[in-house]
Amino acid sequence: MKSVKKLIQFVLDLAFNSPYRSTARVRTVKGVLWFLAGLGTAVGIVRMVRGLGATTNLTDLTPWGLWIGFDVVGGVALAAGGFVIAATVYIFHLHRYHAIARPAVLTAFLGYGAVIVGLIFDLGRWWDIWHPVVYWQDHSALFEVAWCVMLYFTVLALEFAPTVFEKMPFPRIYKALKALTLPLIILGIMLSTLHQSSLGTLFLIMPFRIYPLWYSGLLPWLFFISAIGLGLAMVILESLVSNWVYQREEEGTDLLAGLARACAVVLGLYMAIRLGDLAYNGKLALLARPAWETADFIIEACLSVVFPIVLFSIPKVRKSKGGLFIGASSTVVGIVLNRINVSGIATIAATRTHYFPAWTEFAISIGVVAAAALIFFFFVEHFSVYGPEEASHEDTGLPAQEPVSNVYIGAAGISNTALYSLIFVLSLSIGVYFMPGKGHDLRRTPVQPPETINAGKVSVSGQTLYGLMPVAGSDPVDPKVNPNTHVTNSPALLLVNNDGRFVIFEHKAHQIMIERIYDALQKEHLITAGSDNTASYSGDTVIEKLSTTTLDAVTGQTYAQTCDGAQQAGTNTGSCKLCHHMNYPFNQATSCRTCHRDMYLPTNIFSHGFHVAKMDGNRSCIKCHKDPAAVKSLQTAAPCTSCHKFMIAHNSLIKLHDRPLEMPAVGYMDAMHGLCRSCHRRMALLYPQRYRNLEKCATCHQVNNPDYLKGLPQYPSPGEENGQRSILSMDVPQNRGSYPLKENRALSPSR
Amino acid sequence: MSTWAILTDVTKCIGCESCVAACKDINKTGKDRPWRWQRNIDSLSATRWTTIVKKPDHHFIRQQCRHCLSPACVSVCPVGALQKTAEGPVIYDSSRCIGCRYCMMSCPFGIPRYTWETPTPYIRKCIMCYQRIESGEIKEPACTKACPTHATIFGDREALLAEAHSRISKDPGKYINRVWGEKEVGGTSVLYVSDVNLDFLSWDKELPRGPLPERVFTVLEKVPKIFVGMGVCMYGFYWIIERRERLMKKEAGKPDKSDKPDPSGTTGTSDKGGRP
Repeated sequence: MKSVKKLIQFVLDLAFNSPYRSTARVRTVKGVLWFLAGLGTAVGIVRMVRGLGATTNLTDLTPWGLWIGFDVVGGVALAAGGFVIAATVYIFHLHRYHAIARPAVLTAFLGYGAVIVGLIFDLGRWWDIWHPVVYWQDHSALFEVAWCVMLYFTVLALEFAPTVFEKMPFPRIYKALKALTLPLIILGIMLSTLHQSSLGTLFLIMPFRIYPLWYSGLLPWLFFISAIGLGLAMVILESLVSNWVYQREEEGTDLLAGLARACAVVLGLYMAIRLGDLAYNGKLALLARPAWETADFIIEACLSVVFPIVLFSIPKVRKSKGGLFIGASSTVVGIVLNRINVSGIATIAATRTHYFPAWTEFAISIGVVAAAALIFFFFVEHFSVYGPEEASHEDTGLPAQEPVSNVYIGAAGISNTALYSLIFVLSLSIGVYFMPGKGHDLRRTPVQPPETINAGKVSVSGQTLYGLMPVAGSDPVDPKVNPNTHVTNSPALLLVNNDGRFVIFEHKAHQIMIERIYDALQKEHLITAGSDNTASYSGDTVIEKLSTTTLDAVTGQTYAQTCDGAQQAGTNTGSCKLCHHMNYPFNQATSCRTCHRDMYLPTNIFSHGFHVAKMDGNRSCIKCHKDPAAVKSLQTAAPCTSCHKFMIAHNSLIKLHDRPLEMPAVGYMDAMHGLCRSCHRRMALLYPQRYRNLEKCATCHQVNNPDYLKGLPQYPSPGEENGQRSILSMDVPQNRGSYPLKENRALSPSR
Repeated sequence: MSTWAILTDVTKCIGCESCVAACKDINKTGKDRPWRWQRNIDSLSATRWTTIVKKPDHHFIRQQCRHCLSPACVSVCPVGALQKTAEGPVIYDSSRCIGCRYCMMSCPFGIPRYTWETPTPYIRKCIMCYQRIESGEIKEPACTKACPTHATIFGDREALLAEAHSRISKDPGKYINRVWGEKEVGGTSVLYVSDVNLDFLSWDKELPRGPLPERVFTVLEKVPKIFVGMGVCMYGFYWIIERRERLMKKEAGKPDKSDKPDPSGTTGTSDKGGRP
């Protein structure tokens, strides 16, 4: 019970009684950190709720970004100071570095904490982060990294725990932890060696992705050695920064100078191996190639190695605070840049995509670092991280009240907690305010207008013709000359055809047809009409309906009639959306195939209704269904060829381009014929044996009777048809080719 | 059938995308939507596991998972969510996935896609209709069945390889003398014969011949040795230096005792230092 009471007292003290009186500098630094942490928190919440797509600029081709490059791969390297200093002090017995062992271990602990938090943000299914514990896959470098990070984080916690427990009322635990120091340190070094190098192993599998200047079989080694250099630089930097923040006595720049010297040696070794590897693999020539990667490599090498080595090898610079700061910062930036290069920037050339982190990604990365720094300061203020002499700082601040007059003379206008809370909440709300509204803001490319020509449709003596707009006044398509002309308002000429052919797309007719279907659907309550005359509907419903309803049943009218009606009917804006949807990527219009689902399918051309009407109604049944007792079905019906003798006419070969090429673009049916038939014909001619039946109507147009083809007599092979005119020529009818087309590109010759 | 495979003949493809439609139908991937993370609506995506890449002069190339014989994605997955089946297809177990996207990084063909839009995302890619064929529901993948020109066909890998080579040898003027997928990264189950160069299907112009995972295995094999070796080394160093220090102190102990409480600044480095 006693110990519980003591523990509660301890926690309360931690929470509310800071022994440290903040100076203005500390308050400023912490204020900024709280702000950044708040911003990061806001983004973090949104990332969890909305997912990665909403908060990152990652793409399918660049699935790893800033969070992996900086937070994870960089973060682990940044935390290398822990095992480097631990080895220096405990293994190599360089006791004078003992003073910086605790802050180094704390930095490493918080660094790994930051890595794990960063990873949680980056993992798509972060709640399953424990899966590597259960599902083993020991062929994966990432599996090894995951285990090492887990174990080493625990080890670091235990390594740092004595600092906390020495102030807690549990002397036995403290002693036990102290006794474990050496095994923990050695275990920590073993684990660090493994996963610092494993982070390099991670990238061994993607030689195709990483620019050759960075890819190397030695990546694990390079990562490990550079991590040691970076760890040393990080310890220097962090000592300098925390000295500055707390305006502490110079904590032995000599001590740091020793680290700087070691750092320079390690960095030199690192660069020597790296250049040697490039030379061995004959990649040095790449350094002469004028590419931005070369510049990137040189900048990285200068920052991470050349510059620090130069600075650190001059004793005077090495022992000055400024020199140390610049050298260490340069190393840190340079090697982190190396990690980001390997995991991202150096893959740009291969993936040919550009990825730049979104501000939200930066916010989380920075926020995590800021939070880690705040926790660092918390430990520094409440525990003897920087050695026992820290305690003397406790009473340096002024008392809050003047003892005699009881007048408030404390430095703080508002209490620290209130200030930090205010800043945190403020930045949180700012972060929420600026959050991207939707996960997928489309980067629209400008809409390309459809290619149009002056084409139109005309009725000439009951026949529907497609043609170009009249050139001369005498042209039959000219409405003045021919009152039957129905010219579509803006016929769009669309490229639909893999053969490079155009088809006349009658915009108005399509619009009207779709509107009619809407009306039908509205009656069935499949869609609901909005008050502003725009129908809200599921696009899929309409398309489904379109593809299952025969168009005849829906329209019930001829093209010409619908065209007429269109002028008066006005427009129903609901139909536009079906094809011109702004929500389709890059404003692409719907392809014809979306509705015309039979485009590439064998098509049944037998129309029962047409036959019934043509053959005098019900009396005609027995003409095809010859046995009145039999079930009237396709199977029992007479074969088409019993009436349509021409269908099996001698030499009934399809011919397409026996007409001059200058003919107008064609309608849907002709486009479909043009799409397949030209190639069918070519192949049939090229391989007469193999593709004997390819260009016959029945090849594509099934009459739903599997025996239908059997009923056909053998076609003559193409060689036999010499000199004979085909009876059933499916040539383009003569009256369609009579309007010269101005633009030759509209019809490219058949291949 | 030993190893399932798909052979796609680029010269036969008319680009009708029936395979795409069939794939979308059978896997119920839903409508393609305009996301920021894909290049085009008709590029591979989480809702489009196979697609047709259009190249100049009426060449249409079907893109899909290559189902490598020694797949990089399977080897890198830290939880074994991607698995190489005995029959050949590389399949995905969404219940294991943690969403690290390492598979996407490691794929030499850039195939796996991610459902970035949801807060509960998954990897999406072609699985060669594995479960359905396995259960006998269908005889071959929906895409090959749907192909109207038999440009893409399903069969045993050995048989299809032979078929590919026979097609090339029968018509050497028509094809480039190479079967894509025969040797790259150790071979893939999805093969191509073509009259245009298909190297654009992978990130690199020239993919390494050997299986990619081996590059990692050779390193990971050494992990236990390095782990133990490092421990032994570190303890060895500790023991040697500790002992030397102890002996030095013993010798120096008599004349100079004042050094004992503060051991700093005496050992091991030429740098003159110690705390001020």
